[in-house]
Amino acid sequence: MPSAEPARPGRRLAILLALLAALAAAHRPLLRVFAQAWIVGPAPEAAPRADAVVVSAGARPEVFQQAVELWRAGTAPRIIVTRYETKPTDRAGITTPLVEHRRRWLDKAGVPESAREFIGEEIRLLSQEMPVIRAWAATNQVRRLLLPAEPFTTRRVAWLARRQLTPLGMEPVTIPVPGPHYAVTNWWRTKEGLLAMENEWALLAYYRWNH
Amino acid sequence: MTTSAVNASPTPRSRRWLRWLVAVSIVGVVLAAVAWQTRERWLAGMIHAWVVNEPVERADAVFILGGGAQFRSFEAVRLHREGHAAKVLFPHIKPGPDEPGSAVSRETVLIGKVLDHHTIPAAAREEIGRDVTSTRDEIAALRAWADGAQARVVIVPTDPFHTRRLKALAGAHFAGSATRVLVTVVDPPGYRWQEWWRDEHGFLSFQNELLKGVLNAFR
Repeated sequence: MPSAEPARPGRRLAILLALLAALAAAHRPLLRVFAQAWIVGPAPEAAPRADAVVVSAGARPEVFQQAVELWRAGTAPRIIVTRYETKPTDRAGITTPLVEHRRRWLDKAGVPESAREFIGEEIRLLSQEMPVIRAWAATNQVRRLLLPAEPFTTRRVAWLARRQLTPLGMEPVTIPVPGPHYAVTNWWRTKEGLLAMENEWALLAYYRWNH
Repeated sequence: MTTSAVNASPTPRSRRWLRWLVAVSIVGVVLAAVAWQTRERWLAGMIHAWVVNEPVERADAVFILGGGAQFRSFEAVRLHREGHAAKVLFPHIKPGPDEPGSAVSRETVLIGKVLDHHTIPAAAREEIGRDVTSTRDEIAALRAWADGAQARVVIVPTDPFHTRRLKALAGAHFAGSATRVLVTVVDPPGYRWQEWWRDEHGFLSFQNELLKGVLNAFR
């Protein structure tokens, strides 16, 4: 039986070029689908009812506002704020710490003292924040927690929350909150969107390696 | 049956490839194990090789780059107070899109407040440039100031991974100038630069700097 004729290098190159051309032509829908697949959690309007919504005092304003909106909508009866680190200018008395800014924000939004709680101290990283949330949730018999976060950060938050909260019988639900700096539908077109996505790839790898 | 068994046995060529594959795999595993065991040493070595940290000498000014009010401005105050720099310079940064109606960015205002807090007199500080938006703009503003003031030495403290790019940028902008720009390292809040890999912000800064280097190479 005659052996099969080996594929010609020219033909292979043509196939490769055609594939690359197809990828280039379809890069917009592909990158959009990739971003959608990366983001974890329902849209804020589809958030399930929960025992509390947890947000860092250091979160971006739109994320913090979303926590307030979830409380206002009755989706979560309590807002738990993790105390973010004080900056050198705060310690020098030059600026007001973010925690104090957030306290005033809640006052202005009409969130009563009974519906809010500040937990932890000097939290700088998500990896420091999650054990504080776990300790609080465990002593407060919490079953379901809402965790609003920037869209691309939701995967890392969800990963760490599943790892630390789910074994205790809690159900963490991340809520992606879009910001003004980039749109999920065209994230690759702005420097902020590109950096946000790339930084999250790197940080997720770092978290998986270290935590 | 016998024929197919003979056909299935590896040829001398494929056996040779297999031996190579096994050898390369063993070497790879050994190298990975050695790299893992010695990671602290080479990660520390890497940052020492990367970072530009020039010895401080008496300078005409210390320049606070934007984006570092929380640490670079404190370092500038220290250098000024210890007599290393006669003047403290800081940039007039363009307000961001979230600061509508502002004449100057919050960052510039904050640097000014830090200098006020440390009672740096008006004669010993100066806002330079106009509506800067990048390190490149800042260094261009610094060159203009240095030319006007006939400065001999200027110190620019910055975070560790940024030092190399900053030194290259200063080298390009100060070509033919009599002013020397000394780049020094200052610890960002939260971690020591010598142990950058232990902190996620250190790790992120490192890979962001690599990314910027790659992007700049393609510009």
